[in-house]
Amino acid sequence: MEDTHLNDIQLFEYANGELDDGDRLRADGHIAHCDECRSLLTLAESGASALQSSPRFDLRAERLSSTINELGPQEKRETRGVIPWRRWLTVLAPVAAVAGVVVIVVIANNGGDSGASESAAPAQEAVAEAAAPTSADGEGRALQGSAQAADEAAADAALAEPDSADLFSEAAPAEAPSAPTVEAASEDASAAESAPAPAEEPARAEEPAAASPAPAAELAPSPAEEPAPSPAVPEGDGLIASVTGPAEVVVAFLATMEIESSIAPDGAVEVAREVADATAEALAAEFPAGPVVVRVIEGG
Amino acid sequence: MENESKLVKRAQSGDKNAFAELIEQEQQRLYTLAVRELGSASDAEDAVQEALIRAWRALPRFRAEASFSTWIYRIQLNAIHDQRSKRARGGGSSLDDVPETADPRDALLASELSGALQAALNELDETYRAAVLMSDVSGLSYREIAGILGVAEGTVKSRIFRGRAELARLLGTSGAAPESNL
Repeated sequence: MEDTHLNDIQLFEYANGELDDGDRLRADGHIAHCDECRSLLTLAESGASALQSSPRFDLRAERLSSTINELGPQEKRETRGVIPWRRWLTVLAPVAAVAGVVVIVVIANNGGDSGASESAAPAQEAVAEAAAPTSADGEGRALQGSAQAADEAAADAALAEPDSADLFSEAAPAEAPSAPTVEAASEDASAAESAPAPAEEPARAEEPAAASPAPAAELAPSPAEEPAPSPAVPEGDGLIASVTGPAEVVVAFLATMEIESSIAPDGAVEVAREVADATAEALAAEFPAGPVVVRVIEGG
Repeated sequence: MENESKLVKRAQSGDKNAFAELIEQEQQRLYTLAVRELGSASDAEDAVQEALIRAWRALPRFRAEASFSTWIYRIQLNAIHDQRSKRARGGGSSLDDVPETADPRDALLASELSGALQAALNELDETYRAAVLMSDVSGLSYREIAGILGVAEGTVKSRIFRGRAELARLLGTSGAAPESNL
């Protein structure tokens, strides 16, 4: 660490006091003689200070109350939709085909932040750290976008060991389906209410309950993004299907069928138990086999 | 105050008062985020209103294992995105407009919207802006931000760090480091 620049994650953790003693000492050693890293730390501290000391604003009370008063009916909790999902899916399928594989499993537990999630976090960060620019010649040190590939690769690389076997008690193996063909994009924008945003467009991150079908181009991994390794799904425990594609594609696809899903910190896709069968059926019919875990959470 | 999960359950069954209580706790953070993201008070109001309407409609599908604030932040970010798109098509307000009211707080808001910080935020890459605003203005942890954005925590750390540094550069802050302590 003394001879190479600290990457952004290391600099963040250094500034946050999150490095362990050994890394901290090595970082100190590097920063002591590296004007560039020292400058970045100073800039980041200044930027944080400017934001943290800025005023907060309250929404006008009359606007808030009128909005509340005029709220209409709520949606019903439905699992099957009317959106022409097959037509939309056909656009995403080629993206999914090159991006990795998604394994669909069912767990009989709640706990979106399970042990599996926790075990995934270090792996995610390790990937991000490994991919971030660290070269001594300063390559990739420009602030604007130079670490984007590393950033986004980390997001897609977030796969974890699945939770304990008893959490996968309802699964039945499913046959690997064939990939769909390309037709046309869906113009249905009304379903645009959920799915964790694709890394390329973080502003599009809405409630997990109703994913927004993002354009296929937004879901395509950058060339630097490597397909994530397959998670160790326990054989015979909870596996109901295996499909291809980044988790965002799966979430968006499920949303087109009004099947709520979300991406857990470990990269798994989670769906409610009540839609497990529908999920397995839909995915088995459209996606080939691959590595992101999808599991069912009860009590949602 | 009634705890969040009870309020959520009440709101999920159609209780607007419960929903109002939930929103009251978040409105300042949601609105400030929208103001800073959009650089316009009226656009920010529209974005928050839209987010609240969407959240209310979708609330029955909200699952209890998720944090309500995380969930509604996702909705808010999408509403902001949509408002920005609407403005780009000519349907929104111009930057730094503030609704004309007698509220003295509007003067502060107008001043902030025409200030250097907002100008720098307007220039900041959208990817970094969302991360730094949620971190340093909304006070969310990078873990929460990762959940909201659907990206890895390491990605969030990187974006926050770069966003802060780039913002300082846009503000014209010198990156010259002090001689000591580093």
